[in-house]
Amino acid sequence: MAGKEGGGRTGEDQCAFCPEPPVIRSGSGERLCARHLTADIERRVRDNLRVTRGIAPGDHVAVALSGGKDSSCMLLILNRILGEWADASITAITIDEGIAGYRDGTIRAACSLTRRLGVRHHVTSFSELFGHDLDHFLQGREQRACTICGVLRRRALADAARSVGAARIATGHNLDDEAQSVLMNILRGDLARLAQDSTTGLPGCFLPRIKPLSVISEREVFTYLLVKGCYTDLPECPYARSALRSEVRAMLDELEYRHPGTRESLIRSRDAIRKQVGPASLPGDLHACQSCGAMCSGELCQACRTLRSLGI
Amino acid sequence: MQVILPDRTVQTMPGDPVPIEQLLLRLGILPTGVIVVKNGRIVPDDVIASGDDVVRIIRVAHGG
Repeated sequence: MAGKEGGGRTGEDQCAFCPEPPVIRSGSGERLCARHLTADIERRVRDNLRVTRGIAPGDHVAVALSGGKDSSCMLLILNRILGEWADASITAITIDEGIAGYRDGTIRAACSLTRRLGVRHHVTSFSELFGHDLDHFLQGREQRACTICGVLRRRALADAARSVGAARIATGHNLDDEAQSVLMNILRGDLARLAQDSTTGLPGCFLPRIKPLSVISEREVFTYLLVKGCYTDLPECPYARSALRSEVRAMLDELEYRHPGTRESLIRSRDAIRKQVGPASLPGDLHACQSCGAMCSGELCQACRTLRSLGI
Repeated sequence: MQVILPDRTVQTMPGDPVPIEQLLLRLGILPTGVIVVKNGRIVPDDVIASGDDVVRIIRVAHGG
């Protein structure tokens, strides 16, 4: 592979699989060029979906598309590989929480991407669904921003997915997100959330969620978009700065650098715990929410409790 | 060597050959949190920077 074909490039300056210049080192230390990186990522996403049975033939998948890097990457890849599952289809769903100075830009990016790919796109908003936007709800509650937003966004996504007839919801959580969530749940002592597996779905209660990018690192996602020329520089959510996740991210980044494989180990631990502790054996009985039917341990599920606390 | 930091400020550094990973650590930046562009091309962090290279450090954006 080296020599004339490489244009004089040495082994150190070329991809492990071709003479092209490398753009990244993979987890195994291999240098990959843009072409082989994108092929590697797409293969791993495809394998992840196969192993987890994330998509079945004929499935209509609602793709949660915020317009940010992860969901955009996910949509690009799913659009490319969807033909692997006969008669499967996708609709992109964008939820406008109503965050001033932030969400408009990401929605424009989402619309631009779906137009470019020719993908069906459904956009709905907190104002439409709940009567007010997130900025209104968070007045005086900024410390709970991510919790409130997350709960309501999940409800909005589920409702929108059902409205377009989707069988599953695909979210853009990457490997770093998943590992951060494991650590956050441990730090909070939240065994229930740690053990809950939203990919399985519970009959009649909620749509199964799939996470195609859960085996891809955030850095790989970013690089994928850059080499594809599909990255849009957008601001970070203004509420994210106050989140525990920011601190956990910084901690985990440091741990991952010094002890490569930490993220995967956390996720393996989570999966082992899930095998041991199924939802039926969690403290307290689980039953349908009195308001929406979602599985919960109280009279109301988290989404409905949140809405009640916000006066809806 | 010119190094463009994530906040777009520019530092001029000696041109002695240095692996980009070490350069990042000297600047107090974790390699896993950034992408590096050397002379207009994305490169892995084990590539050497030296001489008149222009190295741009881009922080990996968060939020999906």
